[in-house]
Amino acid sequence: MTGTKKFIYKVFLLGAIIIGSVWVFNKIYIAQTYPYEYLGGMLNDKHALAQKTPSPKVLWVGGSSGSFGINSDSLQKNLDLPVVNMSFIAPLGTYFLLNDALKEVKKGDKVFVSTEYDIEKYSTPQVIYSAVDYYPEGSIYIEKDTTIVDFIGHRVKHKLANVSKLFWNVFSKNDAVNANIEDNTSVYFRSAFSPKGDIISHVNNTPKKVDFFLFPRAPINYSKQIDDLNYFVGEVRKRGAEVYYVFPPLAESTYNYGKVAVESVEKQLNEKLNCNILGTAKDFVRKDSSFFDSFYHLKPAGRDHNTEQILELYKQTQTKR
Amino acid sequence: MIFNSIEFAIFFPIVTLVYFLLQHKHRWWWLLATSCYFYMFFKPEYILILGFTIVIDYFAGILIEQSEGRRRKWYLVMSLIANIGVLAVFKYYNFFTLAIGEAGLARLPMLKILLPIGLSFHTFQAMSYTIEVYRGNQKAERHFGIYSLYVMFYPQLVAGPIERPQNILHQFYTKHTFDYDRVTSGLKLMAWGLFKKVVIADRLALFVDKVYDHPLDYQGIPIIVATIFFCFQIYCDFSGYSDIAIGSAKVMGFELMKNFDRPYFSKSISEFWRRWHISLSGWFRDYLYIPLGGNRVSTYRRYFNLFFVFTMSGLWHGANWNFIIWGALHGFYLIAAIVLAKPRNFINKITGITKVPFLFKIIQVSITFALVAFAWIFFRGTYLELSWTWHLVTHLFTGLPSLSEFMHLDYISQYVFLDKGAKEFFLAIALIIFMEVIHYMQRGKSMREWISNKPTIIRWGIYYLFIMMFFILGVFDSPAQFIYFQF
Repeated sequence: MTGTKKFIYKVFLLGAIIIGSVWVFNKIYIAQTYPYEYLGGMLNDKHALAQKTPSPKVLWVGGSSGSFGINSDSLQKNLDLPVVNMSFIAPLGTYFLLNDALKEVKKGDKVFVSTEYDIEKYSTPQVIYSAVDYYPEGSIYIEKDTTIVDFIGHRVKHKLANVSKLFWNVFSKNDAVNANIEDNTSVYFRSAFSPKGDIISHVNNTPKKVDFFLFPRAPINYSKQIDDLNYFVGEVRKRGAEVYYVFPPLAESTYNYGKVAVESVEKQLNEKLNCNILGTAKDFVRKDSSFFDSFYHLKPAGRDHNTEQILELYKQTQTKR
Repeated sequence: MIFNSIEFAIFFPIVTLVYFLLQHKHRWWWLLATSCYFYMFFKPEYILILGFTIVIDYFAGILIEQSEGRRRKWYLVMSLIANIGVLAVFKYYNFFTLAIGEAGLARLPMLKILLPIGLSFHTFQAMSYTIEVYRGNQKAERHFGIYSLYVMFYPQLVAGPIERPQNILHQFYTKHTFDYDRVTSGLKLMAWGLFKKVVIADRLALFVDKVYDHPLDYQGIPIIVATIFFCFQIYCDFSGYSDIAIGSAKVMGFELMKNFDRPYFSKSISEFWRRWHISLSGWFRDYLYIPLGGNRVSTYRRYFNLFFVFTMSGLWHGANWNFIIWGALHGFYLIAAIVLAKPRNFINKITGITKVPFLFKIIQVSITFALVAFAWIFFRGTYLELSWTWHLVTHLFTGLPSLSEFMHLDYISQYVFLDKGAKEFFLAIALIIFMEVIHYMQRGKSMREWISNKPTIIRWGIYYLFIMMFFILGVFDSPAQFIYFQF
């Protein structure tokens, strides 16, 4: 075999150089974007916030509907407990969101959990790999790849996407770099949150166009999500904390469009969830004009109204006791 | 399995490594087994169709060789009927049934079947074998495994090049050793093909799909932009596939025929067809156009031959009116070129344009490109209703903006950049220019040879930059199918 050794040597050398470069570029990209990255920053900052907040406390767990939908100051004032809004984003999936939040549950806490109707159990690869770049602890929540091809494919694609982003950042800086709460355009950046974890970057912004119909219409099988919720409920109770389920706020047009889907989830939750559910799905349907950039994301005024209603429903459960 | 997938990135090195480790006498079955696996990766049961034509043509070849006179012809006809029959059932039956139904002639049941991948490619390759045996240009292959491999050789199984038995069959008997220069040359060709597909074609598709997925929403500039981009998308997609096919075969020691030769530098439509999908053009020339009489017939018969052959070429691509119109349009272009030869020469003479060869060439290349691009509207429109394609054709030059409108940023953003942003748009343009510059530089000498002769540090620097460019600019969201797989 003429040249076989030469070929193998060169393939390995070039391969090593390329893999090494991709690894280095990934490290540079993560270090460069860490100060302003929305998802990774939020995960680290909200965990830090939860860890430094003394228990008993109120912990809000779920997707971004909670970040936009809760006025933590109002909650704190009415419940007389410090509040940590640990809502992240629904694409992370229930498995990630709920298990990750368990780390911060302590004895005496009141935990409110709210999951979006169309949330999945597991995160999509591109979302979770982006998250764990900045929050490596989250890697245990990655869905196990069924084949070696998926395993390689997902990881390689993500690493290459980071290299590509690093390259393009040279030409046009990420909008999040210079974003701040006072400006009237940016929403998703690391410092977009109040000291309690509510998103406040959109307060001065003009609302964006919402596609109210980007929602399932058929019944949703929520059993895997309920399994995660019930595990979460059990673990929270073991830690000596209380737990309540709250429906996410939803735009009226979306509700009417996907009523079958919403009712199917509500029915399954009522039948199988092992904790108190505050109100009904319909109680959290709000006017379309209350939403900012998604049918789950409330404007500040809508958030206050939503929080009042949650408090009202919470008080009713306490009275019944 | 598609070439731009992780699966192929695993499949190819394993197949190649084992191929070189095996003794020569065992290599045929390894290639055959892996080719079966490659094909079955799409839809396993369709290998039975392939098996059917292989068995028919294998025996037909032997019987043709052993027979004489009418019997010999009869065996050829039987083999052709079997092959065309498979195409007729799986590719054309529903189309003609629908056409007959719409014409009110008869109501025939539709078949609920999917088109087997690459059916037209391997059927044409199989037909080329029996025709060549009949013509006495090729001995009938006695080794059933080798014959099967001729039809099923994985690099060119699903999208060509459509090989002739004289070129490829004997290569399966040749012992190929590991040759460093040949292997690296093959790998470089594969890398270039992959670059054309993943970086250029799939990026251009973002613009093309935007317009062609919603044709009724557009007129004028956006249709022109999308159509020009489609010209390069389909070229990069298909020639990229061919490069990967030829390169992967070359790594193992097989020489497949060239399928593209810088077609958009053609100065006429006839030249375009000598440079585009060369293996198919050659097939139609040798097995249809020449048997019909070719050029050695009366003028009108020649026109008919051209029109018929190109319409058939359109039909080969798919059972769809858009493809038929696309093929017929090219036939019409060729007839027009013959009919208008004298007036064109007259205009050339009085303008004196031929005295400025460079400018003359640019004009010829531009006109040819415009004609080809116009025809591509029908080709790309195959996913659409014919009336929607007609909308694109009739609205190509309507709704054109005034200069002041055109200079408006919103207009440019929406109708020129097609909402993809200036960065994506100019990147797409830059990539097209980059590719054509490479093509231009390759006129005399292959870029691969040019790179190979550079000092190590420069050579490795080029490899490194090329690979990083591939990673940075590639569209990896989901491995896109190659357009020609559907044929």
